[in-house]
Amino acid sequence: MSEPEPDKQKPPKVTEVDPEVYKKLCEVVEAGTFRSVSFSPWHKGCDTELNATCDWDDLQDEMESWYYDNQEDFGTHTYATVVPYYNNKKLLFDVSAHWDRSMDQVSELSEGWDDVAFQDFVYNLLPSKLKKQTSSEDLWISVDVDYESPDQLSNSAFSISESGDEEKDLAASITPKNERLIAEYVLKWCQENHGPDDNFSITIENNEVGGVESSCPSEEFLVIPKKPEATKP
Amino acid sequence: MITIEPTEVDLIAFSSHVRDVRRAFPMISHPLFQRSILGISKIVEESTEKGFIVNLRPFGEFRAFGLVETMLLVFTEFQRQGIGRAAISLLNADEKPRFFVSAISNSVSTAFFNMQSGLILAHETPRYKVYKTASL
Repeated sequence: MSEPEPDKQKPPKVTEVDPEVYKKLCEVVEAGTFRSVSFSPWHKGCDTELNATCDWDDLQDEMESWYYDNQEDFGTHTYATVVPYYNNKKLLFDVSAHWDRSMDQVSELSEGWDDVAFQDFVYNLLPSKLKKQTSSEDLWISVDVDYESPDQLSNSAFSISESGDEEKDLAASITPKNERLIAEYVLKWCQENHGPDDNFSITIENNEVGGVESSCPSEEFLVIPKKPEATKP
Repeated sequence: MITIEPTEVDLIAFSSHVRDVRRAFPMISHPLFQRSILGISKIVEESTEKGFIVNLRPFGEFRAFGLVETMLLVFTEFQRQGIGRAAISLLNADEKPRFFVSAISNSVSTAFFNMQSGLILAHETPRYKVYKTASL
């Protein structure tokens, strides 16, 4: 059996910048004095963090302008990091981004989530003996669910207590098969209410939604100098 | 004379000032943001489009400030020419309740809203300030 062929690499997107800016970018990236820049957009603003030691006052402004021209290609996000590379006389921007629904002040984090229904669902997965000793409304359930693909669904930090009594953790009484059902329950709600992303990290804290994050596909941009516009004769 | 003219355009597709639009409204592509837009108007002076006004159904914590969030954008090259002030004055003339949110990090925006006599500072957090129409 032959080894699987590696995925064919997607060609980088081409992005044009002012020729003078291009020249300066090449210099500072090659010199290692501009390492990265991160953007955190939210409802009415964007926080920028520049990792650079070069003596170029306008670098942040130039990178912000580039970001606003290209952010559509990153997918919906609340954090994006641009790492520049200069190889073989080519300037490349490598972009990785993720979307934390609790950060954009637009997303409705808990939309469609019914904590009572979730308590009932988990309660019904408890062994009969435990069910007789507690009630669904007393269950405080916390779990982190990570989804990468249908084959890669996992949960961690799983706990079930009775009204927050940490001495009585009932999570150990849940079978691995039923743990999987809980993860699937959380994922189903997430996919229905937070879009069809192909990955999710969901945090449930004491029956409430504490966080929903997804990663955007990384993008590579080939930066080239903008050609001067042809002048009319 | 400045006029406010309702329009039914896609802000990004239509505007030649895409960079300004995204800088002012960073979550403009967010599906929920798009669905919450109640109306868009152009700010026009002497047949030149100089900015936008967007009325939005507020999200999450912003719902506490009213039923309509108004977003004002004057394009960079037309700022500091009294266009924003005139737009606020025209908007306030209808005496409808509205509020504006300004990022603390956007010093130009915050300075502008601080100077508007028709607005009062209604709320402040480390991240943003909320201004409401003064008559309400």
